[in-house]
Amino acid sequence: MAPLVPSSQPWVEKYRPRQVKDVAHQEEVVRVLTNTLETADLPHMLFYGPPGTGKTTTALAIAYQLYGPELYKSRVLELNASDERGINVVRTKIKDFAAVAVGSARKGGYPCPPYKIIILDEADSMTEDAQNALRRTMETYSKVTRFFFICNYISRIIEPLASRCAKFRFKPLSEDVMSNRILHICNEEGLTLDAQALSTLSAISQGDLRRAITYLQSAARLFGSSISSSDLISVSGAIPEDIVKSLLVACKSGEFDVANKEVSNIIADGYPVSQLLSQFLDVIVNADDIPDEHKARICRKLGEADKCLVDGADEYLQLLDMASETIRALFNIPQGLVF
Amino acid sequence: MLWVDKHRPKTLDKVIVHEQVAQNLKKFVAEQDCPHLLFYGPPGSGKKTLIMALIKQMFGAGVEKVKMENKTWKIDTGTRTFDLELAMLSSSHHVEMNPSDAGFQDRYVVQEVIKEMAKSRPIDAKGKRAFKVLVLNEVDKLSREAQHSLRRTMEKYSASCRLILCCNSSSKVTEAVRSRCLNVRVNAPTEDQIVQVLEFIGKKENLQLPFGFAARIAAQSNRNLRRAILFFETCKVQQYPFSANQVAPPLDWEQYVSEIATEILSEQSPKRLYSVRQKFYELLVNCIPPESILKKLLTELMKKLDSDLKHEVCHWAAHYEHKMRLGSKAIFHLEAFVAKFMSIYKEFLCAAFG
Amino acid sequence: MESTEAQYVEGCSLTPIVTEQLWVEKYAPHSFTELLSDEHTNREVLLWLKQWDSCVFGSHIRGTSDDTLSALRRHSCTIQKNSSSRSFFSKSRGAYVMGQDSMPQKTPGSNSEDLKSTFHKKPSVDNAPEQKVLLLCGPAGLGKTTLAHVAAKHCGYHVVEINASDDRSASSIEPKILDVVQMNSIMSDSKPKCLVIDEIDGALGDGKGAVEVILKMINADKNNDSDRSNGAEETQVQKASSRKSHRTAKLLRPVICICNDLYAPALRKLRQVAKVHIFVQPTISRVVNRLKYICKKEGFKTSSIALSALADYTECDIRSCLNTLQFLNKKREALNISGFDSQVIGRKDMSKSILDVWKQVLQKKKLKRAEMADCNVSGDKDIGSLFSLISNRGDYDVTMDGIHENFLKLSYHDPMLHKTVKCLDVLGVSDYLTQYVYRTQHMSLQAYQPPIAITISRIVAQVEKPNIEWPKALQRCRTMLLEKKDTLKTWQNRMSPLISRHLSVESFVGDIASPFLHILSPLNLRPVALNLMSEREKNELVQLVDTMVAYSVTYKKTKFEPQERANGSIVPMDIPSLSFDPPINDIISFKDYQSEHIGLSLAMKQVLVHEVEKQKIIKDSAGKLLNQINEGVRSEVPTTTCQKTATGTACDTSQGSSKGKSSTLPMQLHSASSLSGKGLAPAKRPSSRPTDFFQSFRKERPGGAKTHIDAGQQGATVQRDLRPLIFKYNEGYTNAVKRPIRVRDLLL
Repeated sequence: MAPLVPSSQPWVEKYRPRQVKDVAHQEEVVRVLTNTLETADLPHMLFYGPPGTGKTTTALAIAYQLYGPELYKSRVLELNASDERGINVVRTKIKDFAAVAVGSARKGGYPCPPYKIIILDEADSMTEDAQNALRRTMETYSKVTRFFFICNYISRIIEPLASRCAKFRFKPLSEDVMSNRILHICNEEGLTLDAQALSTLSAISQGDLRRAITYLQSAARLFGSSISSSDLISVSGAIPEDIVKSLLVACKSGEFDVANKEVSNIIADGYPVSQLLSQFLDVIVNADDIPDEHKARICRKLGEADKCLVDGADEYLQLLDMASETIRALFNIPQGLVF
Repeated sequence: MLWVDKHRPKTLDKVIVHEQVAQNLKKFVAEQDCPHLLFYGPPGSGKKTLIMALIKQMFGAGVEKVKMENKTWKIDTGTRTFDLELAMLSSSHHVEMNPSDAGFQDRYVVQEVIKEMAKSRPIDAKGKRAFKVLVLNEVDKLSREAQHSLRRTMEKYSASCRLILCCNSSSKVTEAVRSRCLNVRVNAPTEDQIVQVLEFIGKKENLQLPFGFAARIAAQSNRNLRRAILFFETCKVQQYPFSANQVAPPLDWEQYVSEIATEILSEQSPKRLYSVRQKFYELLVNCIPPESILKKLLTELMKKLDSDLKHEVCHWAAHYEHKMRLGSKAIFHLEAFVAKFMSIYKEFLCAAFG
Repeated sequence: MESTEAQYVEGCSLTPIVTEQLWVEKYAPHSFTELLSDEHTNREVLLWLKQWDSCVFGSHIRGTSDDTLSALRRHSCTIQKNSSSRSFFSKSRGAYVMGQDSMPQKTPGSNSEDLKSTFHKKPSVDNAPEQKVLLLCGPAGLGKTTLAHVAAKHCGYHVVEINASDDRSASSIEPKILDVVQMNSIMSDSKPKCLVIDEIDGALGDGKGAVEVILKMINADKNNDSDRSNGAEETQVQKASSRKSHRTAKLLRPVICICNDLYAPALRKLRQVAKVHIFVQPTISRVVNRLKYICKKEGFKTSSIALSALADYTECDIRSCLNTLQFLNKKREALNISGFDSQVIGRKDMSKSILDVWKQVLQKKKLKRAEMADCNVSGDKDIGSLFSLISNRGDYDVTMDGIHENFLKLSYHDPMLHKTVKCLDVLGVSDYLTQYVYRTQHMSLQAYQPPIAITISRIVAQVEKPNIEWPKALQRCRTMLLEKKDTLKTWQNRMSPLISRHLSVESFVGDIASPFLHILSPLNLRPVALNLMSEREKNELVQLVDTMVAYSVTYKKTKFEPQERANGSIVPMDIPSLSFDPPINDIISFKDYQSEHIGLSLAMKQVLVHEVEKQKIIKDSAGKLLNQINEGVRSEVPTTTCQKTATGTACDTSQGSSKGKSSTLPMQLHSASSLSGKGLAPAKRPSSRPTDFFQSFRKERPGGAKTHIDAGQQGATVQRDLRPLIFKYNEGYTNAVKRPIRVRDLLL
C-alpha cells in the first residue's frame, strides 16, 4: 500500500487570490497597481515586508491580469531562491530573456503591454555580485522588460537596484484581517473553528497568513474537521504557554536548582529552544511585575543566547545560562562575581 | 540480541511510549497524504524506532529486507569532479542514509541522492505512480550550505520522493527546512513511562522484578530509554534474582569524568591543569563528543558548589561551549573552561577562608 | 635635436665607469685557511670527500698533505680546546684511527659515533662511502656553499652547482645529475665532477624534484651493493625496496646538498639517507677578526666594538656584514652602533625552524644591563622581531599547537590562574580565527595570529630555557580518533542492517558500550562442558552466544593482554590470550582508570569462541536448508541442544576423520563436491549429487515428526537423518594409522 501522490493541493495555493483587488489588506499597493492595470504603464517594482503578507501573490496576480493564461508563459520569467541565480545565470538566462522584443497585440481581453516581466522572488538571497550584474541589464532593456523584486529585508538589496524601482512596503496583517480570510477558508472546506482556536491561530502565526493556512491544513489532516486550540499548538510546533510560564516562575523563585530542573525537563521534552526563547521574550515583555531595567537585561541575554544557538551551541547550556541570567536580573545580582 | 533491539516495537500499534504520536502518524498513512516529516527530540527517545515503524506501516513488511551498500557518487561541481563514498541502507521502497558522514561535501550528497531517487520512481501494484521515502539521519550536523541545498531539492522533487528527517535538536535545522516539513516532536519518556516499558520487558522475559527496582533504574537512566533497558539487562546478567538494592554499574566515561571533576576540585594549579589535559585527550580519543564531556563535567562540578558560584560557572560553560562549536580544536576550549573554573573556585576559596 | 643627443652622449662619457667587485666576492675564501667555519666541520667535509677518492680516482685513500694540516692547525681558534694538536690522519693503509679525545665536545648535530665509525670502518676498495650524499645545513651566511666549493676544488673536483635559480623540476634536473655522476667525462682536462645542490630545501617536494632523483639513485645503488655492504651500518641508510628492474645510474660522484632548514618536509627522506652536518654560528671574535682584516685592506675605519655589534645583530651572517660595510664605505659613513635600524642591513630571507619560533616565544631574552634602562624601546623591538619571526614562519596551526602543548610547563607565577585563563582564551580565539578563515577563505585575517602568540609570550615567557616538545598529543589524538571511528564503522557494517541502523558511533560510545561489555561478560558462567551445566546456565549461554553472533562480536587471539583482571589475577604478558574483536573494550579504557568491567576468564572465552563459531555455522546452514529442519516445536533449549550434540558429534567426526583415512574418502567426495578449501560444509541436501554416500541413508521423512521423540532404531535413524550434518573439513595429510570405519558408528 504505497502512498500516492497527494491529490489535495496545498490550501495556500488553492486559495491564493488571482486578482490584485482580492489581495488582503494592502490598500496602497492595490490602489497603485489597479491604476497601472488600466494604463498598462508599469515601473520596476520592489515589494518588501515580513513573510506571508502577500508579496508573491500580488506580483503573480499582476502578471496574470496583464497577460492572461496563454501569454503568461512566454512573457513572464519567475526565478526564486530555489533556482540557480548566480552571476552566470544573470548573465545568460536573464539577459537572453530580457533581450527578446515583444509586440503588443491585445489578446483575449487582457491589456498585454509591450514588455515582459521578470519576477525575482526572495531577492535578498541573491549575492551582491549577481545583483550588480543585474543593474546594467535592467537599464539596457528597460523598454522591453520590467523587473519585480520581492524580498523580506530591503537592506539586502543593493542601493543601485533599489533606486531603480518603485518600493512598496507590505504591512504585517492584523488579527481581524487574518480571521476573515481564515473563516472564509473554513467555510469552503467545512471546518469548525471556535473563537479561541481562531485567536490562537492568529497568535501563533504572527501576522503570517501563509503560515496560518498551513497550520490549518495540517491540523485538519490530523484532527479532522473540528479543531481545537491545543491541536493547533501541537501542529505548529509552538510551545504550550504553561511551559513558558512555569519557566518564568522557576526563575522568579531565585533557586538555581529549581530552574535547572525546569530547564532539564524542557530539554528532555524536546521543545525547540529558539522557539522557546522568542515566546519567553513575549512573556517577559508583557509581564507587569518586572521593572524595565531588569527586562532590558533579560532581553539582552535572550539576544545573545539566540545568536549562540544559531551558531550551533548546545541547547541545554544556553537555556541554563539564560535562566541563570534571568534569576540574577530579577534579584538584582550584578553580573560577574565579587568577592 | 540485546533487549533494546529485541523488544523494539516494529509497528505503530506496538509503540508504548509515544502513543499519541503513533496514532497521528497512522492517520497520515491512512489518508495517503504524507508531507515531509522532521522528527526531533533528545537522544534515546525513540525517533528511529518511530520512523521504522512508520515506514513499515506505509510499505508493509517489504521494508525489512534491507541491504547495506557503500555507494560511490560521482560529483561534478563544475570546477572539479570527485568521488564520494557513502554507506546507504536501502530496501525496495526506501533509502536510509547519514549525509553528515560526508564531512565538508555533504551538500553534494544531498543533491545527488535526491535527484537519483527522483529519477527512479517505482510503479505500485495499481499502476499508479508511487514514491519512495528517503530517510536522512543527523540532519542537524549538516552544514548550512547543505541545508540550503536540501531545501531547494525538497521543493523540486517533492512529487517523487518524501523526505523523513531525523535530528536531535531542531534549532540547528534552518527555518527554511523546518517550515517545509511537519515537525514531529518526540519527547524523552517520563520516568513512569520508562517503568512501564521495563515492566513490559520483564514480563516478556519472565523475570521477577522486586518492588522499586524498575523505578530505581528509571531514575538512574536520566530519562534515556535506551540506557534504562541496557541497565536492566546488565543487572539481570550480573545477578538474578535481583537483590533488593541492586543498581546498574555506571557508564565508564561518566565515571571517568567525575574522577576528573574530583581532581579539579581538589587542586587548582597549572600543573593540575596539565594532568587534566591528558585525561581529556584520553576521553577525546575514545570518540566521546566534547560537548558531552563538557556537560557532564559541569553537572559533576555543580554538585559541589554554592549557588552564587553556580550562576557564574554555568555562564562560562555556555560561553566556552559556544566557542568550541565555532572552532575546531576542542581541547583548547575544554581546557579554557577548566582553567576558568579553577580560577573562580580558587578566588572563592581564598575569599571565604582567607 | 641633435644638440641634445650630443649633449647626452657627452654627459655619458664624462661619468667614469666604475667596476667594483662586491667585497663578498673579492674576499671569498679560496682555501681552507680562509674559511670561517670551524675546524671540525671543515675536516669532516674533507674527510667525506676523501672517501670518494677510491671510487673516483681509483686510488687508495691517502692522507692529506702536510701543509693543509698545518694550515688547519694554524687557523684553529683558541676557543676550541681540542683538535689541533692531535694527529688526525694516520698513514696506515686504508683505515683511519681517530683518537678518542679529539672529538670536540660541543658540536651539535654531528654524531661522534658516526665520525668514529666512519674511521674505523674499512671502506672497501672500489666502493664509495656508504652515505653518498652530504647534507650541510645551517643559517644563512655561514659559509656552507663556500666550504662546499673549496673542499671540492681542493680534492680535485670540478664543481657543478645547481641552485635555486635553476630549473629544478625532476625532468630537467635528472639529465644534469646524470651528466655529473656518470663516470665518463667528455672534457679534456678530465677533472671529475662534484655536484653541489644549493638551497635544496626549496626544491619541490613529493616526488617532483631533485630530492627524488637523488633518492632513486641512492636506492638503486643500495640494491646493487646490498650484498657487499658491511654488517651493521650505523644507521640511517635506508634499506631500499627492491626495484631491481629499474636500472638507474649509480651514484658515482659525490653530491653535496646545502639547505637552511633541516626539517623542511621536502628533505625528510633525504635526511635519513644522507650524512647530515649542521653548521653552527662561528664565534663572534672569529668573524670580527676577518672583518677587521677586510676593513683594513679596504681602508674603512671602524672599531672592534662596532664590528662585534654588527656581527651580533646579523647573527654572524658574514655575507650581510660585508655587504653592509661595503655600502657604508661607499656612502662614506661610519659604522654607527646605535643606528642599526636606520641603516640598511640586508639579511637573507629565511624562515626559522618551528622549534626556534617556539623557543623564542616561550623564552624571554636575557636583558643586558644597558638595555634594561631602555625598557620600552627594547620591548617594542622585541615585539617587532617576534612578529616578523612568526609571520615569516607561517603555518600558524602548528605554531599555536606547539605553544599550547608547552606553555603549561613553564614556571610562571599564577596563583589565581588568571594568566592561564588569558592564555587559553587567546588560544581559543586563534582556533576560531583559523576555522573562520578556512571556511570563508579570507586569508587576510591570518595577520592577526602573530599578535596572539605575542600576547602569550608577554604573559608567560620566562628566562630559563624551556623544554620544547613537538605537539604530538593533538596529532596523535586526531589520528587515533579516526582509527577508532573507522574500526567502529567497519564493525557496524558487519552487523545485520536491522540492528546496525539503530547504532551510531555516538550512541554506541555514549550509551551502549559499557553496559554492552557487562552483558557480554556474565561472571557466573562456568567454562565446563555443556552437559554439566544447569538449565539456567545453558539458557544464559545460549542467550550470550546469540547476542554475540547478532552483533558480530567474537574473541580473537592477541599476543598479550594488558592488565586483564581475570578473577583478580594479572595474566602475565606473554601468554597468548583472547581479546574482543572488534576491540570494544578499548572504548572504555582510559589512563589511570580502573573500570568495573571484569573480563571473562580465558577458558570461558575459548568456550565462547567455539560456541559462536558453531552458531554462525548453524545460522548459515539454516538459511540454506530446505524443510529438513522441523519447524514444529522450536523451543530454544532442546533444539539447540540437539543441534549442539549433532554438531558436537559432527565435529568429533571431523576430528576422527583424520584418524581414519579411508573414511574420509566418502567424506572427501562429499566435501570435494560441496565445499572449497577449508570451508564449512552447509548441510544441504546432497540429493542432487549422485555420488553421494549418504543417499542410502535418506529415507522418506514421516510427516510432521518431532525430533525429540526418540523411539527405537527407525525413529533413531530418522532422527539422525533429519539432523543436519555439519562437518568441518581439515585439509592436510596425516600419517596416522588408518582403518576403515563407518560414519554410522560414529554418529550414534
